[in-house]
Amino acid sequence: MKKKFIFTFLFLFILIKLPISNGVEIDVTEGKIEPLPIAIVEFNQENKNEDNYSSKIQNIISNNLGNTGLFKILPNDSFLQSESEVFFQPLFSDWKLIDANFLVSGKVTLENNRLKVNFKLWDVYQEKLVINKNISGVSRSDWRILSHIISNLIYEKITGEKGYFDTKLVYVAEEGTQEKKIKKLAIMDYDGNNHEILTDGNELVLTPRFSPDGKNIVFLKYKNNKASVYLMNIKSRNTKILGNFSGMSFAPRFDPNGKKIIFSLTDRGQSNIFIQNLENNEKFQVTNNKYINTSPYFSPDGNKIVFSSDRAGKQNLYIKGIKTISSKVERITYGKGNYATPAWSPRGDYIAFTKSYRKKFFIGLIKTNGKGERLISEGYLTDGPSWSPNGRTLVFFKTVKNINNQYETKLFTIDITGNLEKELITPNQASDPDWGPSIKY
Amino acid sequence: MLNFLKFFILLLVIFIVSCADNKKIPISGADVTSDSNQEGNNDASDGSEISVSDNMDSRDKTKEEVLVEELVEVGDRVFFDYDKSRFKNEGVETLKRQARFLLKNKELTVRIEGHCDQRGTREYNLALGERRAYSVKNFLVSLGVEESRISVISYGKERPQSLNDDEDSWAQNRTAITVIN
Repeated sequence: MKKKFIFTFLFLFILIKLPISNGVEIDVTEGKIEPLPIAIVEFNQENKNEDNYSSKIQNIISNNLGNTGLFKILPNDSFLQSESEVFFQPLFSDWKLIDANFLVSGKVTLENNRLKVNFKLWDVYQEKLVINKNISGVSRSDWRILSHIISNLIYEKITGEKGYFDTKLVYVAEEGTQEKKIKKLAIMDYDGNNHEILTDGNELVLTPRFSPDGKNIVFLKYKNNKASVYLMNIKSRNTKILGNFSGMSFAPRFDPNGKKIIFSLTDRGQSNIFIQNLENNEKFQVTNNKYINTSPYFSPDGNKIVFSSDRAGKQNLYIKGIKTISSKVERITYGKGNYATPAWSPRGDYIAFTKSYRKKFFIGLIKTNGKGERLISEGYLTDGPSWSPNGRTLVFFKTVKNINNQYETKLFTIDITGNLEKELITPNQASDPDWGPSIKY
Repeated sequence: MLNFLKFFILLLVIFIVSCADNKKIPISGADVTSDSNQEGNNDASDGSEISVSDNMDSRDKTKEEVLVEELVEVGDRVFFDYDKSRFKNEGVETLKRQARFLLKNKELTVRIEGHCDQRGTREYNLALGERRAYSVKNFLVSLGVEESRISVISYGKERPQSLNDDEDSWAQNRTAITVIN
C-alpha cells in the first residue's frame, strides 16, 4: 500500500502539478498519461421522488472529469460502501481495494426550489479530507451549472489548474448536403449541452469568436455579395457590422480587454491587419505590405500579436508588438510546410497553429521564441485550434470519413501533451470552434 | 453531361428569344448555334412565341439569361496553380474574350468570385481567393474594362465546384468565376 501511495504521489507530481508543489510547471513533452482512478459516489438526497438530483450531479461530475482524460471514473457497481456511509466517514481500506485514489461524495437538499449541496473530496491513500464545502441558494434549474462548479473545485484541487467545466463554445453548425452546406452560428456548453442555434442560415457565416466576457461574438458574414466582420450580442442576438470598409474584412478576434477588434482587411488583393477600437471606431494599421497577412491573435497581455503571412513565400507565423507601428516583426516558424491560424495560449508560453505539409495536416504547438515545435494531432483538413481557458486543452476541427465513406467535418478536443484526442459531439457537422471563458454567476 | 445540358438550354433560350424578336436579336459570340436551332425546333415555335410575347418580364429575363449563357460560352472562369494567385496561361485568352464581351455589353457590371481548393486554412483561403479575384479584375481593367464595373468577392473554400479529394477536383476548385450582377 505504501508503494502505491508513492506511485500516486510521483504520478501527480510529474504529470499534473500538485497544488502544493509551488513553481512546478507541466512538462508538455511528457508522454502517455495514466488516468488517475477516482470514485464519485451518488449524492445523498432525502426526497428523490420529486427530482433525482443526486444521480444527475454525480453523472455530470463523472462526465466532466472523465472528459479531461486525466481521470479514470470507477464504476458504481465496484463500490463496496453505500453513499450514506461514505458521506459520514469512508472506510478507506474498501476504496483502496478498488484502487480509488480520490473519493467524492455529497448531499443535496431541495428547499423552496433552491438547491443546497455539501460535498466532500477525500484523498484515499492519505486518508484525508481535502475539500468539505457547502454551496447553497442555487436555483433548481441551475443544477447543471452547480455540478460544473463542483467539478471545477475537484479538478482544481487535484490538478492545481483552473477548471473549465462552466464554459461555452461557439462554432459553425453545418447543415445540408456537401454540395450546398448551410452554415449557422451555434453556441453550447463545453460538454455539448444547452445547444442553441444563433443565426437562420440565410447568410453564410464563418469564424465566430467570443469576447473575453463571453457576452458577444465577432464573426464573418456574407451579405449582398460582400463578406464583412459583424458583432453579435448573444443574449439579444442584436447584430451590427464592424465598419463599412471598401474591401473584405475577415479573420476577426477581440483583444484581451474586449475593447478592440483585430482583423484582416483586403485592398487590391492584399490582406493587411488592422485594429479597430470599438469605443471610438478609430482604426490602426498593424501590417502594411503587398502580401497576405491574416489570422491575427493577441498575446494574453495584449501587447503583441501573432499572425500568419506569406511574405517569405509560404505561410509562416510572425510575432509583432503593437504599441508602436514600427515595432519589429519576428518570424517564429522555420520548418517545412505552411503554418497558419495561430492561437496564443492563455498561459502565454505556447502558440498553437495549423500546419500543412505535403497533403498532411497537423495541429501543433511552438514556444513564442520559435523553439520546441511539436505536432500533436494529424488529420485531414485540420484547422482552427482554440484554447480552453486554462491552456490545458485545445478544441479544433477536421474532416473525417464516416461509415458511408463520406466526408464530415467535426470538432475534436486534445490535451496539450498530444494525448486524449476525442470527438466533441455536436448535433450536426461542425467547424470553426471557439472556446469561451468561464461564465460569471 | 453537364456541358451537353448547358448547350441544350442555350439552344432553347436562343430559340425562344429569336422567335419572339423575329430572329433579329443580335447574339454575339453565339453564331455557332443559329442555324441548327432554327431547324430543330419548329414544332415548339407556336407555344413559345405566345408565352414570351405576352409577358414582358420573362422576355427581359430571357435576355439576361442569354447574356449569362454567352458569358459561359466565352468562358466565365480561369484556373490557378496550387497556392498561386496569377491565373494559368490558358486563362489569358479566356479573359481577352471576357473583356471583349464586357466592352460590347457596356451596361453590365460583374463580380469576380475567387475560390480555392480545400487545402488551405479557412482564413488564408479567404485572402487567397480575394487575391485571385483581384488578379482577374486587374487583367480585365488592363484590357480596357472600366474598373468601376468589376467588383471582387472571395469565397475561400466555401463554394467548391467539386468535392472530391484528388488533384482534378482541387484544380477545378482553384478558380475565379466572372458573374453578371
